[in-house]
Amino acid sequence: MSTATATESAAGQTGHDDEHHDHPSDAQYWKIGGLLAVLTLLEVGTYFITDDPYSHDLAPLLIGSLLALMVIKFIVIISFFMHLKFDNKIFRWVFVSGLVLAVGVYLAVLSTFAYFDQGYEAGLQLLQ
Amino acid sequence: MTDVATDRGPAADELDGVDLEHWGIGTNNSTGISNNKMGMWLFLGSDCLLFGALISTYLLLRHRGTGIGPHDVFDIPFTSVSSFVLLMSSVSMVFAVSSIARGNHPKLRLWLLVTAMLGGVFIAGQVYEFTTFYREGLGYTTNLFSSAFYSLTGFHGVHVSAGIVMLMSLFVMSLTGRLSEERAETVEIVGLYWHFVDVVWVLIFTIVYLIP
Repeated sequence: MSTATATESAAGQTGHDDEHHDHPSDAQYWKIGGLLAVLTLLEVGTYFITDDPYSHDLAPLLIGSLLALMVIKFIVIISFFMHLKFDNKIFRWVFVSGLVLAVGVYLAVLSTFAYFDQGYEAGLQLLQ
Repeated sequence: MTDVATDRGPAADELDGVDLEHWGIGTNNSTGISNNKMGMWLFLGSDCLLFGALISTYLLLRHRGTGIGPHDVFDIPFTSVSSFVLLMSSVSMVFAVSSIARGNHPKLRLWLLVTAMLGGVFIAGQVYEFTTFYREGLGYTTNLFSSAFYSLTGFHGVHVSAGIVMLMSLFVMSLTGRLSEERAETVEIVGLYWHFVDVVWVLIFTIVYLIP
């Protein structure tokens, strides 16, 4: 096996060649930081419309926008700052697995509590 | 010496001149993925469960019980500034990572210090916020909302504080010449932790503060 072949073989076996490539440049990092700042300003802007989105006439729009902005910021940070978009896919799977498990488990918990809410409220009142 | 050279065998001779570490061979495992980096990602994946538990507990308890509620105490403009500061600390962290990748140690130290200082400002804001809430009558055991709120944001604050300790450790290591370009991954791993702490705050800020 020649040196070149050994190198290619190592790259093929390890999948290391897809790591550390195409990371954003400093200028791109500034742009991403600016984008995150603008998204945060938009989020905070909703507070100046109302501090109680649930009671506002535009409740679905306001709450939907806030949740959408939150998800966009989350994805931008983990993709570009944490390099999940560029790094080995195994890292993505590890993190997303934890995330999906967390969201799934706690949605189930929240749904359960919502379903048995009346009994829970009655129990709380008894305690108080 | 001759025996040692013979023990290497013909396969090792063929790999002479190949940058094994670059291809993830030798120091790591057969996947070519750094064990340390994988360890941090596994930790972050499991930390999702911790914060998931705390956030869902807060969502369940925030409107239960009596007394002071979110609307009575939250100061959104103040918390927005804190959130912005933490967000910008993530930007400075990526510059720290890219600085060591280029072997620029003065810039690495500068960005590490900036990141730690921004984290410190965030923690100072949190201490101020907690103190204000306490003076307004919202103690840890005042009601279900306060317990859930302090637990969630307190745990996050502990994470940020641990991150600041890590950043300052890297700063000292760099100052004393113990953080060479070959150890750039150490900075990257601390960076992963720091960005995770930031991304968790993105969720907390929206769910706890903006959608009260």
